[in-house]
Amino acid sequence: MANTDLTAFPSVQTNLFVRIDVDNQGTDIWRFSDYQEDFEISETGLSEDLETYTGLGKLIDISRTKTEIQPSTNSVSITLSGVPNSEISTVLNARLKGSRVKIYRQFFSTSTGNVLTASPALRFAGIIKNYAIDEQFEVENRSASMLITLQIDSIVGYLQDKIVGRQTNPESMKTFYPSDTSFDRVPVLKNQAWNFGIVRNPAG
Amino acid sequence: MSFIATLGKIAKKTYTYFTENETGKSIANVAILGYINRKTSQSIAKQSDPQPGTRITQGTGAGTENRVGTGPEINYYTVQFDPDTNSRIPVVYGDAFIGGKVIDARLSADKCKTMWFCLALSEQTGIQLSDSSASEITVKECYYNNQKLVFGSDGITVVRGVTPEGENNELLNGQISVYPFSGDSETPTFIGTKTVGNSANAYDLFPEWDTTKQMNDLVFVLIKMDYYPVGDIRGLGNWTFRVENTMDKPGDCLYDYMTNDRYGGSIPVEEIDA
Repeated sequence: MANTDLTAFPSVQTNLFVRIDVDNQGTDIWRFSDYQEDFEISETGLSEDLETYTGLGKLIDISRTKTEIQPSTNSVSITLSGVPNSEISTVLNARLKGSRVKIYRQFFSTSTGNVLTASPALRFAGIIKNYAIDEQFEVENRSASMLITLQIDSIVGYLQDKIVGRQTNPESMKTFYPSDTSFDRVPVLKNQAWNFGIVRNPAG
Repeated sequence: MSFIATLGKIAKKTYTYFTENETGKSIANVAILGYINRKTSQSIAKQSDPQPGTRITQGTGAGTENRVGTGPEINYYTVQFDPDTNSRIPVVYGDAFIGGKVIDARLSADKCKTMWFCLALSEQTGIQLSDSSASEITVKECYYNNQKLVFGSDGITVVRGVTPEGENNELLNGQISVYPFSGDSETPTFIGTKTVGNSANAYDLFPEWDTTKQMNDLVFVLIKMDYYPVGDIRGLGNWTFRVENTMDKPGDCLYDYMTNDRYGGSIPVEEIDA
């Protein structure tokens, strides 16, 4: 499907599609959107890459972001409401912090509801920096639901905060190479003294 | 009467006091003994080389401090390090002059005459995007105490140093050996354009190392130095190395730095439009 010239429409409907790569290994991916029903989109625009995003409608809220020409350290928050109590363990057990997040924007016709663009536009790419869980207890029904807020930093912000590199200590070396003992003696060298020289008169 | 005659009278009175008066005699004996003691001490001090109490601090970036040790029998330097356990191994792209991070040091058992040092110079970089070849890092030149080192026919042993003024320093001849490695302990390399050099593994050279000293993905040098104060070899000294990486194209370097998960941004390859 070819992309449609959006300027020809007096109004368009946009919906956001969120993809969270929970373990960063591609084995546990959460896909959901603020569209009213499940919907398939393709990152690449190719039909074989179509993936289904669960429609959460009003249960999801995504904060506004600024669009800038140069890369900036924007952050965005995603709020999921109405999460049943029984599902909270799934959230707690997931390795959410550090997970990569992509938010796509898809355009729909307000009159027909049809998709206007072949592939969605990438709106935000970042990494989950933190998350919070709030309980909403309904006294009358004696039931509770959860509100989950994901705090997501842009890749630029993440890179600014990131500290990388191998340090000259055994722990750092073993992080990358567990059996390499090359740096084991660096702390030992501290304050060690050697009498570097020759014995002038061994007989004394 | 001239003042000379006056002085003569004073001298005569003084001599009489020190030779005929008992108190004067005691004072003269103490003074003479003190003079002899002082002269003897000065003579011993002249024999002790170097002078006691001298402190030499060398700015190698490795926190080296040399303190002269003196005694009646031994002439040595106490070598101490204060290595920073939080310094990061640098990444070199293209051509750069860098010092090194002290990783290990050992003193030989043969009368403390030989010291071995291991200095880490750079991280080993990855594959070049432009031609898919592995990047290679070599040590092109070595500088010791601001002298460019010239190596002998074995490609390892220093035969002389060349000062910034272009003068040859032959005092380093045979006292220092440099063994560069690029990648790990089992990948010895040659210095500069030399076609000969070390072929042994690092853990077979360095005293008390075993095969677990792999130095994975590191460019490093082993330095062997003989104590030779005449040539100013009394500790690690100041070392600088000119290191050259075949990865020097901006695109290759940026891509490598952005994607590397050890020293770079760890950005997934699929997120970079290369």
